[in-house]
Amino acid sequence: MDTIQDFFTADHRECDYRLADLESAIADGDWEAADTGFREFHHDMERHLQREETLLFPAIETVSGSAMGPTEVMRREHDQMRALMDEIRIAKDQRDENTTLGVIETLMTMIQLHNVKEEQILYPMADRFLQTQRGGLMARVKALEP
Amino acid sequence: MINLSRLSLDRTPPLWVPLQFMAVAPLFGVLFAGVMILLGPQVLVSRWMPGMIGAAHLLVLGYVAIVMFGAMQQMLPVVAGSPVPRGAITSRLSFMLLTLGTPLLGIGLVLHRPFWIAVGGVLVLGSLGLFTLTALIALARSQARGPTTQAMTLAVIALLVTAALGGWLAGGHLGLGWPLPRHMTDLHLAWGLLGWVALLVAGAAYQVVPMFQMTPEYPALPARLHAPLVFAILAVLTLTVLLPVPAAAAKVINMTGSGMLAALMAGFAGITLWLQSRRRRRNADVTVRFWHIGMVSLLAAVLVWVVIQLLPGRGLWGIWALVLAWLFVAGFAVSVINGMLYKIVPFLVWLHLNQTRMRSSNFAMRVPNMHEVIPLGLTRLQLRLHLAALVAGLTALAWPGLLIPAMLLFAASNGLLSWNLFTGIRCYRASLNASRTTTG
Repeated sequence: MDTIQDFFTADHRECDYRLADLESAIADGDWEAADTGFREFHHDMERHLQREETLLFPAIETVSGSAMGPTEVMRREHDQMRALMDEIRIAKDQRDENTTLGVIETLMTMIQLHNVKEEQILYPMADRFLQTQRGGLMARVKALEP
Repeated sequence: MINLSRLSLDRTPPLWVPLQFMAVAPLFGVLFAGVMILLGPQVLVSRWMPGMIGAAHLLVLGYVAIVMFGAMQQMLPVVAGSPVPRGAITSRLSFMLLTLGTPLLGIGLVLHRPFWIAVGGVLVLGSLGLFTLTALIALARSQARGPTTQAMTLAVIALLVTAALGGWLAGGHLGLGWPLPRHMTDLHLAWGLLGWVALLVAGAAYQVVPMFQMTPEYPALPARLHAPLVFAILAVLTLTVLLPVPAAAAKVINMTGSGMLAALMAGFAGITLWLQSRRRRRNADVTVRFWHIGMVSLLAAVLVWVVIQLLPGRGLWGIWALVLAWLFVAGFAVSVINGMLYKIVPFLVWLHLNQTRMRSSNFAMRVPNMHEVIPLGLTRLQLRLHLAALVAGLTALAWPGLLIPAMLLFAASNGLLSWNLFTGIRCYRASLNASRTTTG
């Protein structure tokens, strides 16, 4: 797990699985499991987003000399995900199964398309351009807790 | 300093770019069914019936190609980080040429109207040429080098070969003076179905199956090798026809090559079903079910191909060729596309409405979630109609008297699909209008 690509991709999958398990709990009508599931998903997701926003993206922006490129697009999409996570929490707290499942589907799709861009394009690029500082960067990334 | 200016991760084309293709395509499914009903059961005698050739083009160009054009314009910026150059005009032009050319070509073939075939053929070739050229430019500019972009590139080149062979065959039909050997038709079919359609589905599958159903990734080596192998085998089979290869050797190459193609198709379907059986998302939505139907149909198509090889006098004659074609086109290609439309369209409607909300900072604007864009009950009903139409279509090939009910089911399924997709568009417009009221 030395490359940016490997670490962040694995982090994506863990968040994905948390969301899939949350979806299953709600579809089964198990709201207690849904409450726990949401807490865990929200924690892992927020940790992943902050790992990128506070460490990885600034490193990319430093070598590219601009905060306006692809990282800005990624940050914007993170905000959209946070808004959907809020919607899920509200619908879940109201025990509204249909809305919760509908918003989960929306968030899931949005996350997946976002992940593709990062995994196919951004991470490989980051691995190329941040090679010399990768060790230190990844140590800080792994240590981060929201 | 690195230059990121050419790397764009948010160039989502305007909503109408993919949707114009997607919402109209199922109507060609309805047109296909209508033409088949008018032609009547006697058209089921053989694949060489002119009516059958014309109707098949309505389905493959009108439905399969049109959706795939729309989907690729949407997917290229996401999976390849590289949009189609001059997206708006390319999209409008390729859409218009294809939706005008396809009915002219298809119905021209059905009715033996050389003028319609010529005009329709030129329009279709123009659309295919424009699409393949722009898609290849986008792919060449892409920095992504995964199995998806590789399979997509080979699929687009296969489409170009299909179009060239189709143009040649149409020229022969129009009496331009060159011969029309039947193996040219076989090559046209092989490049179109196994090269273009199957490789594009595979390329998309490497992305969307693990992504939306949360399955394990496709095993790396098969995913890397599948598309290049299929492409290389098709190329060898084509060269065997074009070059003076001794008949005995050609026969051996043909048998080996087509056997390998069948194995590759079965392998892809088998791996996909195996991955889906291990998916993390336990809820099987309609998209998963459409994929299941598609993969089982592809396996069944391979099985039918094996049966044909074992029949006396081998060769794709008679009813078995039509069973194979129905399983591959309606069972495999149409099912997978249909399932994907139910993911793509609701998401795009949500995405564009959400972007409108962000841009206008109108946070009071209500954006429907994906399940609210198209009612789930209607998508499930359409899934059942599609499955019924598939089975009825196979039954009609054994008892041609059942052709009309089978085609009525197929028309109903595609009519409802189009209705459902237009419901998504209506939902988009209604939400936009409502948001204008809240701001105004």
